[in-house]
Amino acid sequence: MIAAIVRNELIKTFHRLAFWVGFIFFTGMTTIQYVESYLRAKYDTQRSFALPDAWSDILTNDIETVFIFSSVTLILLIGNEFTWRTARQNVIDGVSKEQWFLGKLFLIPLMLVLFLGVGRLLPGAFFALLGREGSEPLVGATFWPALGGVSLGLVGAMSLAFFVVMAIRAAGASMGVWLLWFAAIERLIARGLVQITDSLEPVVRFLPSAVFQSFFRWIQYDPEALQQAVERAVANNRTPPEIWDPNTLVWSAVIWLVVLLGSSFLWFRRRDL
Amino acid sequence: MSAVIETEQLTKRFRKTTAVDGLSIAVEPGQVFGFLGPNGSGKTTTIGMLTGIIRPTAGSFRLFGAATHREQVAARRRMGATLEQPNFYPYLTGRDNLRIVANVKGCGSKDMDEVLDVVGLTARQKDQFKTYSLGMKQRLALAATMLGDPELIILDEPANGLDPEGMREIRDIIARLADRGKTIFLSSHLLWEVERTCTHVAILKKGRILRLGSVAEITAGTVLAELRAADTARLHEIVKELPDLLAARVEDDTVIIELQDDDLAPVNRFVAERGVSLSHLALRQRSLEDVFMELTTTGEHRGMGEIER
Repeated sequence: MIAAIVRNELIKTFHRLAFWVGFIFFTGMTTIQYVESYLRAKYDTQRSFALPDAWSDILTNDIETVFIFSSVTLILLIGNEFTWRTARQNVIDGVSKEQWFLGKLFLIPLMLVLFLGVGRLLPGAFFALLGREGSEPLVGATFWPALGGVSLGLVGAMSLAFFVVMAIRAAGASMGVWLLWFAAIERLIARGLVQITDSLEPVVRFLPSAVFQSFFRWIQYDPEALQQAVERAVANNRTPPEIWDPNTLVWSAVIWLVVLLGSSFLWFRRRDL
Repeated sequence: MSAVIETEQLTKRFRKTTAVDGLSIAVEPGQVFGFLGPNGSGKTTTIGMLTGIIRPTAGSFRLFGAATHREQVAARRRMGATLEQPNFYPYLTGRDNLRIVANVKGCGSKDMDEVLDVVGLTARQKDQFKTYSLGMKQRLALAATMLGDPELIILDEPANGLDPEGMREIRDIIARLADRGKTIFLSSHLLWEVERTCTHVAILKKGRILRLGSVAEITAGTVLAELRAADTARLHEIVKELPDLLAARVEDDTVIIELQDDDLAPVNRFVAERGVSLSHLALRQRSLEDVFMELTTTGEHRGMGEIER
């Protein structure tokens, strides 16, 4: 049955014009960005866009576009199942609620592979390979932790979108609430907590989008880049950047994932369709 | 052989509203079971509970004898059902929509070809669902319910919004399914359609069963007569005083009365003595619609023997 559900999710996703519009627009946009980086590096000797150094750009620079596109697509794919009442029809046809939920969970890694892997890493790596000179390895020691961390951050951002759309059950309203959460609501909560008492300040960094977005900073993975950032900050009389203890960050993200996806499941199972 | 559907004191409450109130029915294999009631009587909620999309507040039900959640999920693959309007992905073609259902039910392309042929949608199978007319959407829903050759078919208002031609097509398909020995559970407002199609009926009002049995049992018994006069309201007032009257109601310009026997002469005399001339007086074959109207348009759980005065 799981194979049938995955097959169905693929049919629903790949036949959806809205998915292709978003995906092609996103991939086109990132490709143009990498073409520009490649050409600048080619004609300006001060600049470089070549592997393995370019991974920092590819994995973390403007990564918000990945989480916005992947999460909005996820919301669109799930939200309409409720407005079209196809979720209820799927259950009537013999899919259990648990299986239906699993099918939707499958969309999270699917969006990750498509938007991060195909839409971002492939074109980025391709143009960074074109600009490559020398015989350094293609990936440095920071690549795999960074790839894992960024992936976890993106899964986290999508799980928040997942939670919102499973609660609201409408694509448009869910998009609004999800974007508002990242743009304003969490900041307001953080400000409110600090105003209650300064002792709550450490709690603020454990709010979900603060945790997930911490994965999108290259200095979190590269000690050399961190050192340079600290030196720059000191030279400019600014507060030096801090990074998370990797274990604390990963566990915080995992706990939020369990909370968001677990409560989505319990809520979905309890409510009528 | 055990019942295909069996409910016991099935109840659903939405906050303060009781949509289904202690419903107990049994649908045996091969029956074409009509589930009737006015809007808001709990038909769709009952079907929703049977199909697993609404959680009962109390009571229980069995599908093919399956009582646990896990068994019922498996049992649902032995049935095909549609609830209210056809629910499909508008951007997918008719065939791709069927493929979604076929994947769940473990059916192949041949099965899809067959059901598309039965409902007459083969020529339009590659068109997007959103381009279909309402009749075509209803037919696609019927095709989806037929996938996997289910033993039980549940249809909620399958002829809703259709023109007479569309209704006839849906009725023909249901009749063909019934001829193939399928158990059909059908909710509908179209009582004459139900009477022609169903073997058994349950009549609901406000979530409770008012009458349950075979169509023959339910329509048997007392006699109905139609009366017309220039002043329908006055006629209605007069017949309410008839000594042997069981019930009386007005349908358009006709007063329908329910009597113990088919002797209409005393009725004619009674009305004439009160200064009203009848322009029409005739016995009427008691229909399911008559029973339905008597039960649902008057007081709470009114029996057949009570008079609406």
